[in-house]
Amino acid sequence: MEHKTLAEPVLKVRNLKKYYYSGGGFLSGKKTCVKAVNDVSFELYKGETLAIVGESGCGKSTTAKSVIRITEPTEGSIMLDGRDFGKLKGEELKKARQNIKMIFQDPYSSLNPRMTVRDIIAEPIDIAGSWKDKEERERKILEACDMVGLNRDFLDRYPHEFSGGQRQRIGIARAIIEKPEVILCDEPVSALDVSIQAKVVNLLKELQKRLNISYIFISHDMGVVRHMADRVIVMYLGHVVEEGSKEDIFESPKHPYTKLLLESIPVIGKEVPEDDKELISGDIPSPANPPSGCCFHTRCPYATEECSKVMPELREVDGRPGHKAACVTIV
Amino acid sequence: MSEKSELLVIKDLDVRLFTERGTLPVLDHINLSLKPGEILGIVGESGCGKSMLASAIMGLIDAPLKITGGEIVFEGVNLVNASKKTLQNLRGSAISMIFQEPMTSLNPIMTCGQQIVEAILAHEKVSRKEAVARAMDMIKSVGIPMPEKVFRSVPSQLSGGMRQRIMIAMALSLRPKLLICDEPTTALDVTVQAQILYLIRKLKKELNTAVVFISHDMGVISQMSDRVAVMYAGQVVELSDKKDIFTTPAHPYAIGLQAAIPKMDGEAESLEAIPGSVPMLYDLPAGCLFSTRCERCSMKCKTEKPELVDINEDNPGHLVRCFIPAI
Repeated sequence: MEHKTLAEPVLKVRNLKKYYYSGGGFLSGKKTCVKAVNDVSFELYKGETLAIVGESGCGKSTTAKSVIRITEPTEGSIMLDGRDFGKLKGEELKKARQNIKMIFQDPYSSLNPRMTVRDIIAEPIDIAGSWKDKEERERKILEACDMVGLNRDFLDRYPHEFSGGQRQRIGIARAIIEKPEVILCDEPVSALDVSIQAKVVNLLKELQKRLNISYIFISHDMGVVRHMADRVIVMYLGHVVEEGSKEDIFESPKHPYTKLLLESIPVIGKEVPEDDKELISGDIPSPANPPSGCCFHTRCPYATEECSKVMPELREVDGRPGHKAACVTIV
Repeated sequence: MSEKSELLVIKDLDVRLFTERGTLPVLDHINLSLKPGEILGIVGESGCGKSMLASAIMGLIDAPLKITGGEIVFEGVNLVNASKKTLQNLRGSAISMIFQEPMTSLNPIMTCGQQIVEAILAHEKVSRKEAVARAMDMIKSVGIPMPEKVFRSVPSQLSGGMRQRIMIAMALSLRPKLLICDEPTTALDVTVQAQILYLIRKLKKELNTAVVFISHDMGVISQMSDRVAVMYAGQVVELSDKKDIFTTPAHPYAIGLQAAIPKMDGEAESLEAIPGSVPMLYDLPAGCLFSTRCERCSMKCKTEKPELVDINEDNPGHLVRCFIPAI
């Protein structure tokens, strides 16, 4: 990725936080706070793919949902196209959302079963009112339909008549009909079989080239991420632990978590280690009760005493601009 | 391969689904065998029949499904026509199973320890005290921290990885000769998956258990298996040593399946997808079941059904169901 440092990012997120509270009532005992997303900042440039990876509960989906404000973030600023997207309300928010869309993981529950494919695809332009007459509406629908390779004859059918891969195409058509600048893809291929997954991944790449869309690509599958991403953010328990270009992350990962995550991936031809030294021990701690200091120190093979006390800051490593890691043990 | 040394032999197994649209072939002429201590990986996409095969071995096939032909021979006993009592004695003790979702396969209102104790008491004439001691040993051997606490916990108090460890402890508590793992790590995170895969291999080695390991993930299959069967639309389309199937796959579907996986090292511009989608069981092609999606498809493929045959006489054991295999 030719990193355009001078260009203004399409999307700029600063210190995003999303806390969930539970309990605190008469019967439910002490009030607890889950810091699902804890101080996340990033930029997204025109036409690039920024992947967010991590295991379940690390906050990657919550980050996406907070950015598009499906759930209201607790704190932080979201700048979309130079406007403060985080503060918009009502009609203005509706209008700004024409430029930022989302594709969901489960193609079975993210399409309304009682709407025809035509109406599902047209829903964003119906809501925004961005057509003057029926012909224009139909023209936009057909254009989106062609772009994702969906047969025009299917437009009057209902979602249940389609397979997972076809449904995901419908979801993608709905996301691109207004030609947004940013699309948040939340595990868009995780529910699909591998042969179908390849088609959807190829389609997303092709659309990006044609429409110059920027993707935030959320996935737990490092293989797919390596294929899609220009830059990668690694999250653990609500924190960003490492960020960098695809090459930085996959070829010279610095944070112990990133390293172990990459080693855990079963790859064809790689033997299972004969001893368990190379495996991460233990489970991901509960986000309701995160460890003190560095959030990864309970599972980290390199943890020192300092790690349990000091929360490491995300800082540049290796003198490479843009490659940052949050760890005190790496120099 | 003499049949004497085989622990499990599946011969011409047919499972049919009876519906209003007619009789559908869920499993079609499955031939597989397994030696003691061997891991047979079964890989395929959703709906290919891999979980159905596990159910058939466990004797869990029920209406509207039916085993209509063939046999499943475990240590000389044909499980297909065995009595309920024989099956009950074998299940849990000689043959065990680990399921994909540990939360739905464990009893939510019983402590984990009790569930393992119950399994031991159901099959062996031992005192409760001894059963408790053995259950505790098993919990320790699957690498659970604070085993005493976990023994008294109910499944909802544990994480997914811990629950799967409890499942493994229960499945292995009676030292079964055959363990069936149906997508045991699919619901788990990749770092926890690595731990569980390591654990299954370690315990298999210690107990010399044979394992049928079912997964949709080619990477997991390649790490776990000694031999691999690739399934498509209810049939085994390729069966061979792990090495052959991953270095020189011969069936177009097995080749396509590997090409579709994003590589961890390559920089390919686009992924090679397999055209089309899996045919519906009520709308299967007349000839080779893969012919509708196959780029090598010939006239013969459209009309005649290929058999699963050896493709290399010098190196027997690499079986492929294709008229024009890639050699």
